[in-house]
Amino acid sequence: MKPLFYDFKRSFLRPATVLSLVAFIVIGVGLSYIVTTTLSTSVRIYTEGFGKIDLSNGNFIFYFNAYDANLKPLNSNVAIYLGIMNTSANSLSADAFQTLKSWTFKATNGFYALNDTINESVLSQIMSSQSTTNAPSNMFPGLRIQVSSSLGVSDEIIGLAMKEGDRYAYITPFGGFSIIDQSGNMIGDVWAYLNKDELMLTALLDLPGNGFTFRCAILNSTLIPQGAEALNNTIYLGEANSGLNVYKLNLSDMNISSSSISNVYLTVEGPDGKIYSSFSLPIERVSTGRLQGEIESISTGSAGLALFSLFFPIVVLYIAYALIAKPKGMGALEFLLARPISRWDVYISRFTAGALTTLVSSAVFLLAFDASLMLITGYGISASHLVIIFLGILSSLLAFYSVCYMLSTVLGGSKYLSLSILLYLFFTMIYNIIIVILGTELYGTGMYLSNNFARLQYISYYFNPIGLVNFASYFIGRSLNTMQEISVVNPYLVVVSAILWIALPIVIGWLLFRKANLSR
Amino acid sequence: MIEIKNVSKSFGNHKVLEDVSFTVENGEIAGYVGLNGAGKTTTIRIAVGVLPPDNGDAIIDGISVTKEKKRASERIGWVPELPIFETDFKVIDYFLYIAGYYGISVDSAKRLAKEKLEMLELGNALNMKLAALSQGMKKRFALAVSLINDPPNFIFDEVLNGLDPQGIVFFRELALKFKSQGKAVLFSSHILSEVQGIADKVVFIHKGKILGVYKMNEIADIAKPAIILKVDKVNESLYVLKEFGKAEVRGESIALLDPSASTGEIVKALLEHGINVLELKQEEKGLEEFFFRLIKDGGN
Repeated sequence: MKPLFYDFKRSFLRPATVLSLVAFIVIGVGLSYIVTTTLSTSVRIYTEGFGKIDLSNGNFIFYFNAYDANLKPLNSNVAIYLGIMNTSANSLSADAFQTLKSWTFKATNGFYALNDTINESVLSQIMSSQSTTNAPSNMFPGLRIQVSSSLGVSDEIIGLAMKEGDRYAYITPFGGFSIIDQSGNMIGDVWAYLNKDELMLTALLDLPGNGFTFRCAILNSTLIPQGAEALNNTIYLGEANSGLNVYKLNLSDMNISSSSISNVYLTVEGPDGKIYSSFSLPIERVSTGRLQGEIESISTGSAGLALFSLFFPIVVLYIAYALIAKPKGMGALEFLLARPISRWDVYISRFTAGALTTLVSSAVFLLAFDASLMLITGYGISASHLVIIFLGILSSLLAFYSVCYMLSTVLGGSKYLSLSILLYLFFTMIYNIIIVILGTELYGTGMYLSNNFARLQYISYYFNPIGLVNFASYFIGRSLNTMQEISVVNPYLVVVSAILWIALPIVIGWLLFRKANLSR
Repeated sequence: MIEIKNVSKSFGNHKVLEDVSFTVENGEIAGYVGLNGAGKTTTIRIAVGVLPPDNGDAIIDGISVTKEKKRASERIGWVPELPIFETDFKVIDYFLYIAGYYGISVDSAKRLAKEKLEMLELGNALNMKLAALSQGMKKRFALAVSLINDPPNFIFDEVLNGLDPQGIVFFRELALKFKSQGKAVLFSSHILSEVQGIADKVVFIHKGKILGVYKMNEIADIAKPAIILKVDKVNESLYVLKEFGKAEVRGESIALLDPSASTGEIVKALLEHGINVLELKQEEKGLEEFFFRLIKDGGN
């Protein structure tokens, strides 16, 4: 077995390293949950629902669909409440919605279809509340849906259609738009989203059979075109089926300016040539990308991955102790050096083993964090940002490892531990306090301080091995437009600083180790 | 062959070795004797390449330790007085780890480990932590590791210290075996009698300087035993005893140095002259006396 591999194995698989890594992975999973908690208040989700009750037999169908802020189908937990709405009550009060029956389900990949039968007692309450003669004017049957997901929550009242004999009645409010035919038995609800040049139409439909087609007209006002010509100018979208129908249109391909449009108008044509037309449906303008930015911003911020680069140096410090300081302090390196091996071999092999441990630990932690983020939210950190934060964390840890390794060549055992812990505390806390004091002394307090202090802080990161990771967060922040440009941050200088922090201690350490007395 | 050439070493202001030179030929056991702190271990650490000298060099089979350390180290084995290993290793793992530095594959190293460790009665300790080994076991393990490539030169540094009689016999016989195999063996000790019977020559060191290199028969000639007598007539007995060697008065006793006859003949001669022998003992400190005399003459 190659000694380097052996050194790596025993530094990576030593209990201190493994346990710390496991702890950090658990923390990483926890961080993913923190990310989702933060997201639930900062980004929105899009929920769609459509329910129908056949009052003659109590048959209830419900279609549900949900998208995240990026219009990707959302996995969610859904609770539906069928009940009576009191429109005159405060919407937050207990009597605003009286639940008669409820269902819960998990909607995977956005969509869920529910079929059930409503019992007589619930049905009679529903019927009496929707009756125009018996019910108070402020009481209506309704559906309330509560959606919870890793990317946000929602709680809203949605449309409920009721069939009474051959006739349909529908209850407001509807989420978007509905198609109703008083003589037929087709009904549905539709939503329209515009993301840059892409118009996406989602229709939850309950059709009486097959062979239906879907068409739309894109409008720049709420007015619906009239007459046969208007109907002929609609755009064919595709076949329409019961359940979820999704259609996408690229506006630039159709030479339509996305900025000028506001509504859509839709038609469904049956196999018998009968056309069902909709109301004018307002388009929801969606700005995708914010979700990814939010996730990455939270992930790479001070409460996220930075925690790893703040605390993992303790493990790094210990690795240098285990590989060099401890055996050197005991005098155990002498026996090894009596073998066909040079001091340089021992020095560089053990440095490389520790560096590899740092690299693998950082990679394992980042990948575990990204994987848990993916599992929980469906989103990970983008590959380019993952590389940047990996390089940031790695260079920071390697720089501190180099400094510790250098110390380990001259100090053995407890002396090494004392000084390296002191260095760790200095670079993680004392150094920053000094910068704060220096900033206050130089710039006073107030706005003048905050701008100059940021510059001072970033200058200080060049001279702090553990501070190098902040540049990675800065570059990601700049790329996400969540950070102001700071003039003193220069990518070339950052690279030079990292190289110097890693290389200089190795060279100095070697010069010291080359002639060091290794006996106890 | 082990050649120590004009080696000097200081730790800070303290000069530990000063122009130390000597040679151990192939098929020869050289005792390396000096008081504790004389510089024996420092010389040996330089010879095995774990400590760089300030001046001079150690040459192993013509290869400079300072210039071609790896090649030189392949040709020399070392069993230190107190072997220190990285204690978190298991015996087998450390053997395999070190075998890696000899370029030996894992499978070969495992076979070799089993063979060497069983030969040195460490077969049951393969999975023990190195920290749990006794001093004797540690020395045997150090030997096993040093035997990985069966080097033609060997250094035992105060190896008999702390060993039980069985262990002492083992290492003395091993040194003789190595000699018979044509290896050059340097055997250091702070007690001259420890190398008696195995060494072909003895290199004496004191306060970092070589006092002299003596063949073992030369030492035996110089450091002959004495008989200590207590008699009732001192002056008369001096007259009688001069027939048997050099006699000198030491307090109330007489020391007969390098006696030419047996104790029985000497006592008989004294009695024939009417001198009563009250007490008689054989003085066995010849070697050590020789050593201390060397120190006295050359060291201070």
